[in-house]
Amino acid sequence: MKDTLTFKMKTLEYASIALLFIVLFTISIVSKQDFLYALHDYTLYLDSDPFRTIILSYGAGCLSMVSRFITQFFISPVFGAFTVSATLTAIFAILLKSFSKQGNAKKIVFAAIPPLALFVAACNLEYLIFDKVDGSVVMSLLLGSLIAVLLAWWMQVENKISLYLAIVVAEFSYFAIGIFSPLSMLIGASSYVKKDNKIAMMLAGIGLASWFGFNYLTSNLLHYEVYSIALFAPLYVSHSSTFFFHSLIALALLIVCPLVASKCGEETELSAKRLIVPGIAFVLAIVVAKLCCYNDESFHKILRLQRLENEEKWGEMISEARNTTHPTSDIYAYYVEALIANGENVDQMFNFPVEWEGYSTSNFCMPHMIHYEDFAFATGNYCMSLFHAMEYYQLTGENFRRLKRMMRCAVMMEEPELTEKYLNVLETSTVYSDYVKEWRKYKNNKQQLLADKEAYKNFDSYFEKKDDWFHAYSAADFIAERSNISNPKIAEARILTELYAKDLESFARDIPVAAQIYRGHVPPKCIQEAACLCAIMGNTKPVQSITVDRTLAKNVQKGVKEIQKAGKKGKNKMKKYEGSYLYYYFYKETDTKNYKGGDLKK
Amino acid sequence: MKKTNIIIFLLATLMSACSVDAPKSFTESSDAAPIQPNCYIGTTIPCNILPMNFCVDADKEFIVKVSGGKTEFSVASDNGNVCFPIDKWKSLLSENKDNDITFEVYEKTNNGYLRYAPFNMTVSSDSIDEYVTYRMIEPSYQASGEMSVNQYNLSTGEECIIASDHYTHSQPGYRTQRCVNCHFVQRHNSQNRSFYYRGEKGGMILSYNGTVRKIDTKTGDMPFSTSITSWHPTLPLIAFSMDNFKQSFHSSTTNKIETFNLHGDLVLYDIEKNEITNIIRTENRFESFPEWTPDGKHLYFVCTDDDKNKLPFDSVKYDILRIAFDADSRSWGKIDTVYAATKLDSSATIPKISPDGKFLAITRAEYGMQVPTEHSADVCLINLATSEFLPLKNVNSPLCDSYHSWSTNSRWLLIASKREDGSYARNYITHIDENGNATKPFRMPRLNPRHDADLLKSYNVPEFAQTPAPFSTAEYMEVVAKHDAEKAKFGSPMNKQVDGKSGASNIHHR
Repeated sequence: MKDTLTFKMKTLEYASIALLFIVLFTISIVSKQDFLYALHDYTLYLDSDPFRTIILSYGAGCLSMVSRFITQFFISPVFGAFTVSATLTAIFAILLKSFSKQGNAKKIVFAAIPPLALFVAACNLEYLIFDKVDGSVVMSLLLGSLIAVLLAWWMQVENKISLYLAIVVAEFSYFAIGIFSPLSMLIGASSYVKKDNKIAMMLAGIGLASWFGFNYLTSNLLHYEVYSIALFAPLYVSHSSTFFFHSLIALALLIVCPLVASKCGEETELSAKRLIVPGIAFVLAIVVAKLCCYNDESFHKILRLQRLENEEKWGEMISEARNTTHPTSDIYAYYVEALIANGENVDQMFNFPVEWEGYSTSNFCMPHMIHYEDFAFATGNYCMSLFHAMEYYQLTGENFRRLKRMMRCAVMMEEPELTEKYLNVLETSTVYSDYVKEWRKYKNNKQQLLADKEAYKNFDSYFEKKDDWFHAYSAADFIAERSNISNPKIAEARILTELYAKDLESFARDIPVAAQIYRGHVPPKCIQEAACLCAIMGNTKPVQSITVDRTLAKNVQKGVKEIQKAGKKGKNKMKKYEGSYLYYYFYKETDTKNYKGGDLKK
Repeated sequence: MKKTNIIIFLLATLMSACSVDAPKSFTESSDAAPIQPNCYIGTTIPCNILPMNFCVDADKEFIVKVSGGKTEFSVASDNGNVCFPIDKWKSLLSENKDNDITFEVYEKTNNGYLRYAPFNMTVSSDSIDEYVTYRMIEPSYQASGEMSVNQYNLSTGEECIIASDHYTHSQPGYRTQRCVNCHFVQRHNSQNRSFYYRGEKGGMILSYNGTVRKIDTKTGDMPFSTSITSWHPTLPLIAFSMDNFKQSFHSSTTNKIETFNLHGDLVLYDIEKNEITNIIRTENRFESFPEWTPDGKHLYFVCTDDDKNKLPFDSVKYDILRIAFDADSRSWGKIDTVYAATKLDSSATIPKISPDGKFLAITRAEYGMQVPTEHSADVCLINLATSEFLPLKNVNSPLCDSYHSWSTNSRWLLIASKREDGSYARNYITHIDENGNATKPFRMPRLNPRHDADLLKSYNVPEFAQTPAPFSTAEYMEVVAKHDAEKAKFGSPMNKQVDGKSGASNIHHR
């Protein structure tokens, strides 16, 4: 019986390698596509001298450069999933090979734990992806670990010359691969613990000494980074971040696993009974990996919306944004952007069919930094969009997303020289040649762009041709500040901003001024409803200045009575009013912390 | 044997690439050579400048022959970059002082070589200061992105960072407003310098007589810290303006962003006493951009008229004034108007006097004093002996040409210009002769000619320097990180308007 269930070792190795690849690839494809796409969107690879000079001057510069090169291809998430899975599987395969003298069952488990831990770390970049973190840091982690295990494997060859050569290579590559250089020696050291303690101690000693010593040189002589940042290059995302924490755990497991594996007895065959243990452990590890991955719905929603925005799938953006249980100001901003792009009725702004809750993203980002330049662009505020993109391009990490935004701003501002500059830079990437070709034709022809793309025509309707100065720091605020009656769209945007902020006092003040934009036609329902609300509260000026549908007014009166009767707790009974401004006003929380208001200019 | 052959082949290929010969037969074209930047054509260059490398079409093959006097050499390009060997370039320049050097650009076509119209550069025997310092910054200046003060060697093309706020921005959790800016040098001792490192642990980083200190220059009843700096040419004194700059965005004009001042007074810092005293503090006017004359007897500055609170901000305009300074008594004297731009319905700013004292370079714009985004901004000269206004039409562009700096020999003017795309400033250099005649400006050359085209940052506040920064980045950063700022003393009476006095002499109105 035992014989029939015994596998040849090589077959088992291949089977486990294939299984791991399939599992990782499947998880990545099913649930990580938007994340992988975002890694590409928030990285930058340019084949240019200033770019190379900057990247290579940082700690682990070469690794970062290679990772950026690879990550740019994650524009196709399938390629991203394949690369991530293949790299992790390669680490698994090398570890399997390194543990060849250990028992099969246990060696599979020990070899599988580090790549799975790395996968968990890689999927936990969280909101830092929007901040000063390059999307390629994930690939740097995986690729660096692969290099480290390869070097460590080389050190284990039964040949002292190879060992010393591997040490020299690892030492010399310190500035190119950073933390992964000492890591390779520490992995090597843990592999030698049982067979040759002298070599183990030497490797550990050199690894640690070079790690601290070279970092001292890096931070004090060659670079201008602080010691602790150089120490963990290229993983210095944030020392308190989940990504950093998980990465260190994964790297520690890379060191610990060979140590523990070396303690195991030698076996060449595997029984069915023993196969159950690693099997269960393997499945559990995958479940843990899946569960540990960052699951904040808002985070994944923003990634999804940004991807759809890049692909200009406005209808899908609206559906996705509505289908959310934890709306944030970022999600709402993308929702409104998609509404504008699609030319949807403004009443839809308040038809956000979820309970609006103040939801803390607990990230390091500046307020609204995630959507700021995107929303500014969608509301025809190209100058502000351009300048914020310019600045955040440096401040939060250079990336394709902001480079494309700057280029589009330049097109909309009709500045061909500036457009060409961005196109030239973008052209030095590997994956954007077609995109550059498509946009170059609009360089001197904004009208052609507006004719070709309806969304851009809709964005441009908010463009204020009469020059005005303003400064503002939130999406709501800059609409409020710049509202000018000379552009009815902007005046309306201001009114809607007031309604969004539930600032009926400002609404009552401004609507008589804005009334002229509705002369000859009926204003949007939400504005009529708000005017009726003002009347019920004692200010009849708004209803006197605009046309209000009689039936709608009666319904508002009726609705207010019902809502007053039902109270806050009775909102479930008031579902029939969902989508109306009335319902929004009474039952939905809004993010108004940055709303400061402004004056509608006559 | 095989390996040896490969090595010999590679070496031979390398050698042939280095020693290209210009084509003997070619067809001629009257078109101008398709080089970038094309401002190199017909310009005047200093005799000690690094190679004027330029770009050509990356998809074609080119040979460029450069000749002058007895020297000539050619280089080939198949990647769009035309780079001259630095040794040959140096000897070419040294042999051709006050003469022209000629460039012939040959393009390889299917029918052989095509030669574009040859062009010249005139090699001036006037040398240029070896170093330029500038701030690298995003054009937006809004949330203090990553900025650094860099130093560039005009003879070798080497660039290094003097100080950077990358130091703190590397940690996303520490998102503090930081600013590294305004790097200024004492004219007769360029080892003495200062720049600001603002924000947490910030202050003025002062290197003086071989030491680096961090000084807190907001003292006494000063409402704001010091900003724009001018070192006295010989004495241990620095004149500062005390400004409160704010920004707004334009909704539609190509100026894009507007920087305006909500305060403006002048103070004097005595390095040895570590003491600040008032120069001019007024309620009804803004004074800023101090600039010492080369003899140190006058301080030039910009000043609004008596109604500083005009709105909108684009109606605030500045004149150039000067105030006398008596070094012995350390007292201030009479104020004169040097250039009344407001009478011409314009604004004059950034006064910079040539070290020989002959010319005053200013930036003239429609309004304001901080004009790095104003397309109307142009650099002009005023002959201080005759008061003749020289508009430098061949130097300026339709877009913003603003900040400027004189070389030590007064023959070269460095200008930050946004002429290429309206947003990103690049350094341009022009030769000014003894009569104030300027030559066509050229973009500051880079060893990699694509450098500036690919760079998404602006050059800001460029200044010439004769010597390199006396301290390393690490030494400066150590002062920033570890030292508490020394608080400067305040040596003037508090809460007092001082029109043209430093607690000593009386004001003489214009």
